[in-house]
Amino acid sequence: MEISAALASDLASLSQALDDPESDLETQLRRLVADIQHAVASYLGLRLTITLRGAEVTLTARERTWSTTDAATSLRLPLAAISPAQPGSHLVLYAGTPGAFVDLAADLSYALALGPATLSLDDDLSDPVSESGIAGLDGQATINQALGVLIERGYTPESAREELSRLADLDGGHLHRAAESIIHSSTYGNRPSEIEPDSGSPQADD
Amino acid sequence: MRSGSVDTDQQWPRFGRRVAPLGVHGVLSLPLLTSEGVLGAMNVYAHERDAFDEHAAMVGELFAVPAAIAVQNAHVLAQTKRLAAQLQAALTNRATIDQARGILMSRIGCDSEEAFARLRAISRADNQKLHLVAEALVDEAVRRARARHTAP
Repeated sequence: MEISAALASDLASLSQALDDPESDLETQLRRLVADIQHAVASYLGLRLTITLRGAEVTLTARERTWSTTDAATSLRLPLAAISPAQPGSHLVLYAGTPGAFVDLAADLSYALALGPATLSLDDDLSDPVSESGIAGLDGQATINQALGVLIERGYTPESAREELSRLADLDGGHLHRAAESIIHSSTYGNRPSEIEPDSGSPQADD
Repeated sequence: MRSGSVDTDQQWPRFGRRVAPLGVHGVLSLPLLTSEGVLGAMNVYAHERDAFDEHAAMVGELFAVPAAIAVQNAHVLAQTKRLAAQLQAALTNRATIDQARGILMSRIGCDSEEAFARLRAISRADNQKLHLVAEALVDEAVRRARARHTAP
């Protein structure tokens, strides 16, 4: 499995957020890949997407052999089937041999008592994994820091999200840019045009 | 591996003596083989002595093949659960930590790195996990914000 320095760094940073010396995301990822390789000899890579409050963070990991072998099959597992995950969270596996995931899909369906349409075979071949890494992390960090700035200014979490969306709409829908603007204003004191929460609107959220 | 009578089988003197009074006399043990090696074993027990013959061993070996695949697939499921749960928890904690950074940036006018350093300092000083420090900070700021909205 390709673990770039950037991916290792992101995994280490996320592991720190767990504050548990027994939990290391890189180790867990390597164990999962090893287990999949034992079960599926032609395994090529995976894409794990976690959806939180409508935002996606996607971890991708691919084998070096994928550069010389085309993915011939894929298996998509909605994470809500195995854990309390938000809709949209899913795992997609790729392999180089047609039908390589048939046994795994059958065992997962039986073990989890899944309906016939829950798992998807070969629906993700047009969207393969291009490189190993984690997408969406930096964007989420900026947005959450901006929400923190707004909360400190007196916005409730709900009205802070509304305000961030409103500012993004003023800027052609660029949520990340709006968040950066809010953060910049907190550091340098120049606030973007906004409605102060104690000057009449927005309404209380409780 | 087969044993017709474990209580008298010299291969497992202690095991045989303990299980025989429970009514276990016949044992058929089959390796669960994969391309990577032995994954485990499937052990079948019988009350009768000499219950398992060559035919039983052959049938058992046929069952052992899909059993090994099922065990491998169970490992994939278990490890997927573990990784997904930890990644989700890490992202949730990180969101709280980033919101706390934003709160400090607004409160004291520092940048993101200094805000994070202050959170880490509080975490060490109070011997409390970083995400719990962040959670407390965010909860306190949210309480104040909600009080402003609901005050007459």
